[in-house]
Amino acid sequence: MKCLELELTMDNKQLSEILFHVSAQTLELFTMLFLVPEDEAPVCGACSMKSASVDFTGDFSGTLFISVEDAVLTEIASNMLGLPDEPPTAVQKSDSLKEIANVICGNFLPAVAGSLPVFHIGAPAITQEPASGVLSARLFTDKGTVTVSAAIHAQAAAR
Amino acid sequence: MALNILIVDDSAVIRMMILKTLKCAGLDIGEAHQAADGQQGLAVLDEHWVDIAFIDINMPVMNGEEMIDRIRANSALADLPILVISTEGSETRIQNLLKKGARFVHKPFTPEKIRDVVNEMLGIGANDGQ
Repeated sequence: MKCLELELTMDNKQLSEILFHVSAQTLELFTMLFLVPEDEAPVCGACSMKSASVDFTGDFSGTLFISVEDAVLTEIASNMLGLPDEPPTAVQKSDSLKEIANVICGNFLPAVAGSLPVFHIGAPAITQEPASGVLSARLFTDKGTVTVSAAIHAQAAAR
Repeated sequence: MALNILIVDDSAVIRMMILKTLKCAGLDIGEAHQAADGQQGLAVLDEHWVDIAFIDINMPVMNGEEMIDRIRANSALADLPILVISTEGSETRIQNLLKKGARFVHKPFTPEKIRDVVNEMLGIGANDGQ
């Protein structure tokens, strides 16, 4: 299905693949979390989840969401902050998740729109809502699952 | 010689990551100042000498671009080496930053990338930190 909101040649599947690759690269480079096949990722049906979102505006606007299981978030924060011997605090975990959302968003937009458009990325925030959006990527790690999604709200008027 | 540094980013996590990266890269860090926005960063520069500043772009109160403009307009600080570390993906904006005499490293960064750029900016030899 074509992504109706965007006058892009890519469809939602292709856009979701870009979202997947950008998210995987960010996790690997920034958090040292590496992807594993789905059947090797721990299954955690009742794990508590933490979510963050970040809004963006520019040639098109929307929101990027990320949801992670708590065990994954602990690993992310520990690796980002270099805390081998002490567990990260709740604030450090929240800040880490918000920064990951920010970095994924900042890399996703030029990957979709090219390097010329200027986007404004808002301040990331912790949200109670789980990741939801037409564009979606699930990333399996040895600590659990990361879900990243994006919703495009509107396209700027033609200039 | 130990480097006095200023890290300006609204994310405390990123400030810690940059500091950790610099230390892991073998750079001799003296005073490490931190600020959460451009205005705080300028206040630090008013009070302390730093050898290099690491500045984010998207920040509340005063963004990195305005902070860099203020630095370049101040004769006492105009030559301060500035490394912008940001998620910014717009080539238009990046070119503007380069014209202001800043260097740019994209997030997510690797420790090696930060180390190499800092060494180049400060003229530190490849073997000096080992």
